[in-house]
Amino acid sequence: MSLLSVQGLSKRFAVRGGVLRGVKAWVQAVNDVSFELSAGETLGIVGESGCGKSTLGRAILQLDPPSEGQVLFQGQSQIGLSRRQLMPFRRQAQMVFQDAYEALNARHTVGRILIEPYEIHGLGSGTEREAWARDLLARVGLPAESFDRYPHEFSGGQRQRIGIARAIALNPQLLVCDEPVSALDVSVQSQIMNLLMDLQRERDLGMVFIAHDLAVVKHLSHRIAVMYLGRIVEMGPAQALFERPKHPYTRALLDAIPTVDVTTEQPLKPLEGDVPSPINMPSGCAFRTRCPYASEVCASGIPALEGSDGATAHRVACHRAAELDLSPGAS
Amino acid sequence: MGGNVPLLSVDDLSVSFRTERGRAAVLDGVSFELQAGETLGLVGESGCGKSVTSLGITRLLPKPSGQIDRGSVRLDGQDLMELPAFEMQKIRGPRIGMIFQDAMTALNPVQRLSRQMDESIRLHAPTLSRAQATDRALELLTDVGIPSPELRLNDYPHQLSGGMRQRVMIAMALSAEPDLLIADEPTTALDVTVQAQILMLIKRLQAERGMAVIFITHDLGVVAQVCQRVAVMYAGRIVEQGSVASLFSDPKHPYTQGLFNSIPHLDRVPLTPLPTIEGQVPSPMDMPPGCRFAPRCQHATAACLTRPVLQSNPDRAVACHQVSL
Repeated sequence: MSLLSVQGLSKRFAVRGGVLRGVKAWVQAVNDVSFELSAGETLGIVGESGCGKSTLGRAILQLDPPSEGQVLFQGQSQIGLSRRQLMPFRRQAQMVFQDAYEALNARHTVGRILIEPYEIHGLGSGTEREAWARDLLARVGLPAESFDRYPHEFSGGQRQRIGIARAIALNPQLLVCDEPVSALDVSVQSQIMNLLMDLQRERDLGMVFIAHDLAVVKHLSHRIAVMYLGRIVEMGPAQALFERPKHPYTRALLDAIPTVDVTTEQPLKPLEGDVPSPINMPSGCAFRTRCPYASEVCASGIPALEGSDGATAHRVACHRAAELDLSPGAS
Repeated sequence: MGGNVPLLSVDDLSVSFRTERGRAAVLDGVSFELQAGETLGLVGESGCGKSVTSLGITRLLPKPSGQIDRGSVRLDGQDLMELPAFEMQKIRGPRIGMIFQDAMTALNPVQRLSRQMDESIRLHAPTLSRAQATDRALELLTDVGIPSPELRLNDYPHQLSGGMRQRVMIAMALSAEPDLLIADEPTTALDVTVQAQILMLIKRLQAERGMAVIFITHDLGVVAQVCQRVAVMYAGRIVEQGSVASLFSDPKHPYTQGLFNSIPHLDRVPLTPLPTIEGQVPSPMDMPPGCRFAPRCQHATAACLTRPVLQSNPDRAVACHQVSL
């Protein structure tokens, strides 16, 4: 049984306007997303701004309840539960945010921030809670005196360590990380990535790792899902997806990354145009307005995510996937 | 470097800011040169002083807290630090154009693009009629790749996407045909596919117009794509500079090496520990003596307690006691 099973998950937001604040349109931020995640596995989710990756993360954790679809955690449905009923799931599934400063209570000391999860879930005595919180600080590599300090006294990288310490306080099985390193400088980014990989190994954590930086995602993930305008357009083992991309959008993302390799003169090959507005989506395949391979068939219907099942499955949602050779080198 | 009179020559530029806890020396003795038509990347992590360098050059430091303590900035041999403020205004725009990370705040949100373009075009070419200025605006917008520019001219900035706004800002900077363009993180807020469009645009315009560009970024990949030379900054100083081809294939300064090592390359073995630079950037209020990287450097010795001199050969300059060129 997988740790996490997401089935047909969708999330709609109403766009309101006019004098009576009536619903003018619906934005389909996440559209029919399905995947499985095992313990000890990381699923990377990549895509550009507005593709729905953060909304997906929040919908999985029931921070924003999904509009449709199913979320099973260890086989148990987490949909439509009350706050109280969600408590066991909340203990097992935690989130790490991009902006740790926003996510931490600025008026509380780090010690109090780390003790709070134990209080909420009624675990341990006062002295036990403090001892656990001090252990957490040591585990994420912060000095012991951090306990009595406030979040503003720390650098961005240290704050993210505090955010991670809080997330692992209750010994969760699942961590959803939403752009946890994108606000950090590169030298600090690698420290935090190493910490997350160590914690995963040590605790057999399942991780959903959301980021826009493909190199970061590739380094941390066992499998990767690429999102465009709310849908997964390609999903597969990290290595296969980078070596043999099957969706033109995945290939375009790879081609757009400026690499530090100066030995080969490889100009960037930018995609034309911008991401369409999610309020006014193209018919058929949503990517066809920017796709260099688009043909008539692409307007005909939304392509399904197809391919074999299982852990090594490499699946793609593209009408023309069978005819295209998108491996790097081919053009 | 190079025998010609440089377009821009920055010598010993030092800037400090007044804070509640005293003066913070943010820039300490920054020197570099830029030839006409050349693209220099200024890279480093947050707080290294790369943006302050550009504000120092253009004399746009926030007043009264920011102050130039010493140094000179020469444009075609003329010292910009000596110029009266109204003369400096004639430098910004026609001689030195600027584009910033956040195009939304750099554009006026309550004016249509037509009016903003008209203003920036006729400020530098007062003899143009309104109709001629509109023609010029259309030409510039076409040049930066904005589809149906005659429709876009009626738009307000918020009606454009982030990439389009950045294109408009580039078009406005180019309207005065500057000799030098300072681009401060112009693609950092953009998605990777749109970033690629803007990088290719800047590269094309630079080549067509023979403009010099200072490209400020934290992204080494971006430098590799658009720059010929690069200067690496750490804690308010340039620690290494050279041609991109040479510095990227053989970084000499331990900090530069650490930066390259800690980037998660696509060809690295996944799920293995990444090399890191331990510790943190020092606070400008509390800079270590001597080499400012020494407290984080694996190679540091007692010699590093004194300030390293900049060693240079025609291809490279490095400020490190442990490296000999």
